[in-house]
Amino acid sequence: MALVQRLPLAPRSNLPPNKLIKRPRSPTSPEKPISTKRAKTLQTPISLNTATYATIFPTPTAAIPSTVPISQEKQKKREIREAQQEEFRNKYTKAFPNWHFYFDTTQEVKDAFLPRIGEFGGHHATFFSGQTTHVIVMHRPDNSNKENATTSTRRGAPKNPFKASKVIGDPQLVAKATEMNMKVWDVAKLDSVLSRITTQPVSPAPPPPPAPRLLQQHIEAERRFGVSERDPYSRRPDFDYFEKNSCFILVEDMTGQFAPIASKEYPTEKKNGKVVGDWPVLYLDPRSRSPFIQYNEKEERKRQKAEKAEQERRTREAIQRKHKALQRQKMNLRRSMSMANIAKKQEEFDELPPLNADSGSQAASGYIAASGNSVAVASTTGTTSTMGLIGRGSSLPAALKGQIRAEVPVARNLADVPHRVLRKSKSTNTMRLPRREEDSKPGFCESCRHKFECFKMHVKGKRHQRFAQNDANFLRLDVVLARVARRTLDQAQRDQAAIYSAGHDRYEGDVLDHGFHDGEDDDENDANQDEDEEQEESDENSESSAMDEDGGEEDGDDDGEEDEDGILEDQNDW
Amino acid sequence: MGGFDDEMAHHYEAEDIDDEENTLQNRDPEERQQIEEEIEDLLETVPQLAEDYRILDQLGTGTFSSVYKAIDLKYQQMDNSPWHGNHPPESSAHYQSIPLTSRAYVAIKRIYVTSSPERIRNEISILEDCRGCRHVSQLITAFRERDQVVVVMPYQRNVDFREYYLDLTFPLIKDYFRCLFRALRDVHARHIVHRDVKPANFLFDPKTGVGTLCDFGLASRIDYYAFTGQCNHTSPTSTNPQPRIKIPDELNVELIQTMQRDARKRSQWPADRVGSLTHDPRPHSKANRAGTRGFRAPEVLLKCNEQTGAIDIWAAGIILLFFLCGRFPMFQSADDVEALLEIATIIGRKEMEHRVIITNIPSLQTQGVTWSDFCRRPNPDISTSSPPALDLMLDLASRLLDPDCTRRYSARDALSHPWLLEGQANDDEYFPHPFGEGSCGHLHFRDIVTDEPCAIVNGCTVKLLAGEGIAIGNLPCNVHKTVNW
Repeated sequence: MALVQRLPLAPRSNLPPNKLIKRPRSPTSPEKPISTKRAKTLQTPISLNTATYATIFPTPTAAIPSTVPISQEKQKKREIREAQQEEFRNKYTKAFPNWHFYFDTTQEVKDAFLPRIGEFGGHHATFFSGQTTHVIVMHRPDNSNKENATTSTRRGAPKNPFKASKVIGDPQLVAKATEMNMKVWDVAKLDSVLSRITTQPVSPAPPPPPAPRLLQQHIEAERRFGVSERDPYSRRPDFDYFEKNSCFILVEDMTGQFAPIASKEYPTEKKNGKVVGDWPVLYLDPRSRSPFIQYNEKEERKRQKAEKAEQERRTREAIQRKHKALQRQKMNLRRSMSMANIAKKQEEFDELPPLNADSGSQAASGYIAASGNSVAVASTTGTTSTMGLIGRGSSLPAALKGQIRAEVPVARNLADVPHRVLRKSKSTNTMRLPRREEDSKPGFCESCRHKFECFKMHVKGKRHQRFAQNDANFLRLDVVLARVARRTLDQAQRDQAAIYSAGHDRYEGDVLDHGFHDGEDDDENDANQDEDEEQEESDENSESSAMDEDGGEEDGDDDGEEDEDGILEDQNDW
Repeated sequence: MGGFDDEMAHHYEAEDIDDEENTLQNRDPEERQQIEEEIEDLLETVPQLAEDYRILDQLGTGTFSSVYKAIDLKYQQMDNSPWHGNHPPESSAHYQSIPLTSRAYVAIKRIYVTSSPERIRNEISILEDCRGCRHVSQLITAFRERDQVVVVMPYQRNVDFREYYLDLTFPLIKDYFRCLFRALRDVHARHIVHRDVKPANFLFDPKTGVGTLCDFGLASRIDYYAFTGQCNHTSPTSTNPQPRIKIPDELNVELIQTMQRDARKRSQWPADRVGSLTHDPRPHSKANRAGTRGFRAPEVLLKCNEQTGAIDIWAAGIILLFFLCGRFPMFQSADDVEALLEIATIIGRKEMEHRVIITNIPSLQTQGVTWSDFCRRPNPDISTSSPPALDLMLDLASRLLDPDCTRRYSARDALSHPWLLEGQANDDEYFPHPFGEGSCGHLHFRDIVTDEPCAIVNGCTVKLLAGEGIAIGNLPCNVHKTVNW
């Protein structure tokens, strides 16, 4: 990769040839006495690596007499710390080119670190071999390796996304590596070493912590957009570009960890000197059916057509309703409420006691009684307004527009209300259902992981039947189904009796009810258990959510047509 | 007069029920025959259905299932307490807890056999956990015959959204959203996201003002463990589900500024100079995008992988827009990128900039319009004189449709918004706690092996069914209410 050959940002001059060292080691010479105790007295706040650092480079800081004024002491400490950091940096930069890193981590982690290692001349060991000097794992399983002893413990809240991972290095590999005297570092350790040798020589003001991250981002950015020396404007052969003169949108992830999120381009045209295309434009035109539709002749025609259809539908329904009502001979309609009267009532609605869903229809009738009429519920009947778009001439919101112009047969009581609500074609009960095409439709069977041309053929076919007849495929589902099976009242009463007798026994057996105490203990244990289970559950969910991806119900809400692309994309995931 | 009204109402109730039974007869012959064939096929596939249910009609078909109306023949012999729940008379969900004296109508959902058992298990186990949630379709039972699974739920009478959204009165719109947000509050409290909130999945009866959230086929549990904190908001946790925007210390402000500057620069370039790697080695952001276009929240379209209940709240906000604008449907997009563009043209591209957005599309402005303008401009009449409720509704809409999911209202916030709170007691009083929470929560736990809900009653462990042992408000659950613990 190009960036491995790039000049490093950090000084890497006067590197010794290192010919003598067969397998380079960490700069810490083993004979150096290591005192963790003393190191601990050095309470520098350098985040992650303090402990390691102090272990590797014990200093005489502890010897500083406590009489020294604090500021001086601090100053001194800082100087010492800086010197140590400098030393650390030098040693590690020198050693890095001789190191071979083998990653036993996820690909993303590896990808993120390789450029950083290359920066300092380190090598990537594609295979685990004798040449490998460092094995990088997600987490250290134990503290066997001395050098890692102090680093492997968890520190504070992880900022590093890598640390959220639960993956631990393959124990066999780790054992082997330890046996072969290789260093086993966890990701955090590698990150901290790299961060610390990356920083520029410490100036009086300490460098801001995001610096190493920035560098990493920078490298990532270069990988994507070319080295910064190269003109980013010039075209690259490994890039896809948008069409000339198109209008485009490209959405990328801020952290640079993911491939582009979305991209789309629209061909453009020049009309009256204006660039036009098919992208969404917000018109907010009162005469259009949608805020994204431009009002023009075409839209006007559509609008009129819709209005006509709506009017016809309402007339038809009114006739049907009338017919039905007559048939039933249950008329108690008062048809003579004047328009003005209705309009006046509208204004009052807002002041009315809110209709509570509380006790269903009773509440509703109570409300109607309070209002003195049932416009509230009877409102849509006979409304002549269309989609409610044009000339809704009052000062009321769209929701109420229709009502004002409605020629509503208004009743005083609930009597005519059900007609409206339940009248044919209004209720979903009687709505014309779209013909179910499942039988002949092509689709995807999640159980067989198979694309089929015909639903019926597939589910009756050998392959699917083999799946369907094997109960083992439904084991986990059956556990849930068993829990939700209905029980008869008799059964329930027996169970209920068991509850009471349980309680009763307890009282009889023991006067002092220490069961309460047990209960709390149980509860605590159980809370832990719950957590574990939730974890297990969530692992599965991640699987199923991958499955869900794009598998959404894509009923386009305008035409009710099913969107195929969701399902197709879903299939690609398999 | 009152007596007469009541009598009439009662009369009509009886007639409604007749209506319910005969809906199939009212369909045109061709359609009727088709539905009858399908019912026959269902009974052939799942013969045990006929023992308990009489199937009457078809209620609807979807991508993954079709739903039938039926009479539960064995209702009176069965223990219905687990799904009836224990909602007190003051609760808006009390009707769910009233045992039925007349015919029990149910909705039977036939899940297509091409759905994987795991997907079906997910749906049923979520429905199981949602027993006791207010205004959520309750799971009566579910069973399997080979690969065919059916789910039985109470029937909820409803009217198609298109039939009433233009004419619904303010009080009923209010009821609509009270029910919807109570449902969402209870579901979200169980760490479940519905993912497909839209009018078709919220069965509303304008006659009673009762709404029911249904179809949990795309619902998912929030996977707090998968959150990695890569967004510019903190990861939600099970104890603190509402994420917040990271403080500058936690964010790499410099990087963000650099990236945004860079994006604006590239937006100015000619199209044939803007591109991306043909084969990008980086992984694709794996975000769950299940749902319906037009209702997807910005974070879903931007593929944020730390989605919470906030995506349902956005969808609820979109429904509120339908009422306010008097338009349905409103969004026209052909794909997700276009859906994103539609939102961006409204709210402005600046609000989307937690991703890097490089675009030269002229209709995209840096600053968008407010949701209030978005609703008022296509309805010039409402601007001149508007009832007080309208301003409150517009205010609520802007809070539900906050592009930033960390600032967006929660369902509980929405219920305490002045528009919905008016005249209501604090919703907390009627909130059905998730199992194991509430005043007697410490006496509840799940069996380590079977995962069954249990209760400690007088020191003894008692097995419960899902839906039992739910504490409401400050009250103990039904088990601990009747038993002296």
